[in-house]
Amino acid sequence: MKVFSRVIICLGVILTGGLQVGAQVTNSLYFMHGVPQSSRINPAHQPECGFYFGIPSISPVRVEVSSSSLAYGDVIYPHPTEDSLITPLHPMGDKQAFLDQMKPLNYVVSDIGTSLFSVGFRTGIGFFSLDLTTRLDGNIYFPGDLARLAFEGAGDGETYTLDGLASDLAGFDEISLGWSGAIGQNWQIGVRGKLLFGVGNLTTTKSQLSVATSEEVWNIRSDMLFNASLPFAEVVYDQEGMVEDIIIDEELLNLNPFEIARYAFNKRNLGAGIDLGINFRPGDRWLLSASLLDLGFISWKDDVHQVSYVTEYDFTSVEVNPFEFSDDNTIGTYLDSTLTALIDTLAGTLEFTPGEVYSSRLNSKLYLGASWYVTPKINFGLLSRTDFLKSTIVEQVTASANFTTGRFLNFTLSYSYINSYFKNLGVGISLNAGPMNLYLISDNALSDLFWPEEAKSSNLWFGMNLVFGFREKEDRPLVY
Amino acid sequence: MRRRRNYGFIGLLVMVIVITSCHKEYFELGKLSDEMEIRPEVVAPLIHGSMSMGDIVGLFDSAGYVGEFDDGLIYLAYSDTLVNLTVDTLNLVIDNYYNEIYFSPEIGTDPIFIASGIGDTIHFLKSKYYSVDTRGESRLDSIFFKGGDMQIEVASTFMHRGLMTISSEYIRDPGGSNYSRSIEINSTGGDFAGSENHSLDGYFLETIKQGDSSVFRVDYDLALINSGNPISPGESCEISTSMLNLGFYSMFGYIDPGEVVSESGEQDIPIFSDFPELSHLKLADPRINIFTESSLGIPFELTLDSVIATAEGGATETLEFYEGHPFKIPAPSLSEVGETVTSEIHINNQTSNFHELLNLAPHSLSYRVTGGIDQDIPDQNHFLLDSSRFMLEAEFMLPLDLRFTEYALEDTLEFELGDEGIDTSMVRNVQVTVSTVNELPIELGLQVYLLDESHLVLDSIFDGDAVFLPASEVDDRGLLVSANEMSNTIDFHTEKLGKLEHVRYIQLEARMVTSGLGEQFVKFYSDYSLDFKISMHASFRINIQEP
Repeated sequence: MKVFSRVIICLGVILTGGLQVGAQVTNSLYFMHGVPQSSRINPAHQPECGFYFGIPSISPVRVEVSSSSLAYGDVIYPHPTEDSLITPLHPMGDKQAFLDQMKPLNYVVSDIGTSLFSVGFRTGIGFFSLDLTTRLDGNIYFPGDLARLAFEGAGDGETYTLDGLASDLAGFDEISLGWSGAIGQNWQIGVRGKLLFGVGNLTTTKSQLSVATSEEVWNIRSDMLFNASLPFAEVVYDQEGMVEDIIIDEELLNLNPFEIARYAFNKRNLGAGIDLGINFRPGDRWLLSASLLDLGFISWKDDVHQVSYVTEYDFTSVEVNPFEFSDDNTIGTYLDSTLTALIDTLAGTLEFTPGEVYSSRLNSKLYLGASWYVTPKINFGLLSRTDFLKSTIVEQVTASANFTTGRFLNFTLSYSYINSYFKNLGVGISLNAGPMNLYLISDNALSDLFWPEEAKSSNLWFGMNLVFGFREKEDRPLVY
Repeated sequence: MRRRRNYGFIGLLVMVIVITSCHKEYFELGKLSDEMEIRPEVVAPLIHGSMSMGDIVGLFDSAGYVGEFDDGLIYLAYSDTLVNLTVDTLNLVIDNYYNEIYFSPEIGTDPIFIASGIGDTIHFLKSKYYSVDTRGESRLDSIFFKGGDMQIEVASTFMHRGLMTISSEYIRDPGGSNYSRSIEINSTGGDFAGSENHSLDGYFLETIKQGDSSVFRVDYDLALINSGNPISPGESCEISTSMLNLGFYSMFGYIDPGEVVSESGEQDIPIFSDFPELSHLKLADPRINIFTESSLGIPFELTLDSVIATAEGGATETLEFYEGHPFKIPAPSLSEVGETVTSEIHINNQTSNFHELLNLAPHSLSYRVTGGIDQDIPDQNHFLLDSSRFMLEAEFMLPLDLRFTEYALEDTLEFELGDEGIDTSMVRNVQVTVSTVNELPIELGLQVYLLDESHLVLDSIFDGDAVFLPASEVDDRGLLVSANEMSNTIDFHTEKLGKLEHVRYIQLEARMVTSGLGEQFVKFYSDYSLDFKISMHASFRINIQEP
């Protein structure tokens, strides 16, 4: 139990590489060029100001929970006859409906980040930005059969495919330097280089697991491999190679700022990444753009551990010798001792070992956008976003209507197809009052208001910047 | 224009509030019930195993009564030594010989004695053949004495001194010399009486055949020293010899000890009265194997007669032998002196109707067994050693080649779940499936009744009286053709599980019949097996709020 609690602490440390927020870049931000941090989603974008400085820790704060399969209302909903809320686990809960929502492989994805330092400025050769961001890439994958196994049990003749059951958690700090410049009249390109410092990591390298159950045999196949880097904790193994204790650095628990800084910029877990972006104006009314984010990896070297679970086991029942039964050795005690040995056998293939250097890649994303300008201040955008996760590729599509008054206001209404859900209505607003820039963006804000129970994902970007040197776009005049 | 925009904004705000309020109930998490209930099902193989026929019978064989033939056919066997005979117990021939001989007054008229002078020694010789008395028709050729005493008494009324010498070339002393003993008559008073005792241990007596008798000759030499006194009528010298407490190291001849064995009686067979169901048990070939060991140089013959089995109802069956009766017990020949000769006698369905006696389910068995010398053997040269013995061991063997039409067992056992009982609250239903592959030629019907403290039946484990374990298929020789596979599912639904806490007794009723409904004999081999698998299909209802 002590070890378990410390594992939780470790996960907590990984998850709190910065602020404990779950978020990913909102698609609606893509077309909000008035927001200084819009270059985060496409490095080719240039803010309309000459200089900005993000308020530390809230430039921006990004919050999102995104589930591939389950909406809020699939998990919590009103009791059919009483004044209460229930879950599918409630006796009156519709378990089958819950299971029907599950896909063969489900995931919860988060791309967490907050900027402790964010500054950008324009020069004659383009726009530069410098950010210090604490991020957490966290993906949890769970097969639908896992829920089926929990809800329905181990049925006769059933095979529960648990392939892909995984957790990829990476807490790291990112120092990025971005540049965006124009090439001619129609092209803008941008690039952002990133230096990554890994705080902690848990990566599922292999995940093949299946359980087939019948009255004749239980067949268990697994080939699972987990890697972890836990620099902030000492993992103590016992003689059998099992984890005996995890000792968290006391200084970290005491929130010693120097220790936190040491772990935050751990040079032994070093990585690099790059974001690329391009904008192209093929005509007066069109803006085509693309960006590729988070091409990168982190090499984990510090305090690396490996957990493997490889087994191929057929349990065809316990062989008993009826002639060995006695008052002291009943079938119950026989079963008990033999099943204990069986569990030990299965657990015996679980190996904890000090691991070797490994690397984990970032969750790469590809954005392809097109904007059609009705007027210079009104445009409609269409965006395709593709997330390249480890076990799956996720596609999102966003259509937006974007309006700007110039410096004072940027406003976006968006509609997105996300996680097989068609009713994501988003909104984004960015206000500039003097040097203060304030923005709030969400891909699901309106749909979350109208149909909150159907929400599968919810995101919100909030940021405050000090902006200076606003200038009108030097766009070519549109021809009406 | 400005007023219109405000109305629009207010309208939009109201719409949003109305819409969101519709969904308010989803987010009143204070009303979130923490009750959880799942109803999973679990199937799992539980146990499996195999019991061979050899294992099964071995389980009940704490005394080592189970064996198997070379081909694996199992039998039950019980052995006992019925006869253990030594020569000490034989009623043999020799003991306490007593002979007398006289030298009478005719000596006084003997011209040699009359012509002799005082101091002259005159010998008077006599010889006498003695017959060795034996019982019956026995004839003793020789005997090597073991112990025993020779007592010689001499009484003389002759008024002469002299010497009485007794000798025999038929008796040799331990040194191999002919027997010779002398007693001095050292009185002239006419009142001499003298005696001598000596051991006969190691002496050897050889006889010759004289008519139907075995005889040996003893020579008497009375040497008188003339004292000058006359020999008057009535004077004599009387010699008596006695051979007492005789034993022998060896004995040769024609030896008829009479009845070696003579036993009769009536033996109760309680197993059939204690277990009346056994009357349905028919054995194809019960056997009695008799093993003999004999170092007696006398061939015997055993007769088993008046063997009658009596059933409870008074029905009887008499044992009849088809061959090999009376039983011949061989003996070592003269060239095998000191050796032991063995023999076997088999009483089975080939040699007798013994199986019919047992299949009568007898409550008692009367018998008479006698044994004596085998008169059919022409060679009448027997011998006995002091170490000779005869042993007869009987092995009662029941090969498991049998059939039974109906064998029922019933037993009532105490049953209680104990103080803690079992928690069946989470169990909706449990199906236990017992799958068997049976090579044993036995069909088993099984029922288990659940009884309360008043022995009232609450429920039964099985539905109906279905066959729980079907018998294997056998051919007309009772040999396995194919195993029989069967799967029985025992359903413990919630109601039945709830009754368990009221159960105080369980009543087991088992019914067995051999393959072919018991109409044919079946054989049980040690490699016949009963394989079983037990699996479970359980349905649960797990509610975290219920205790």
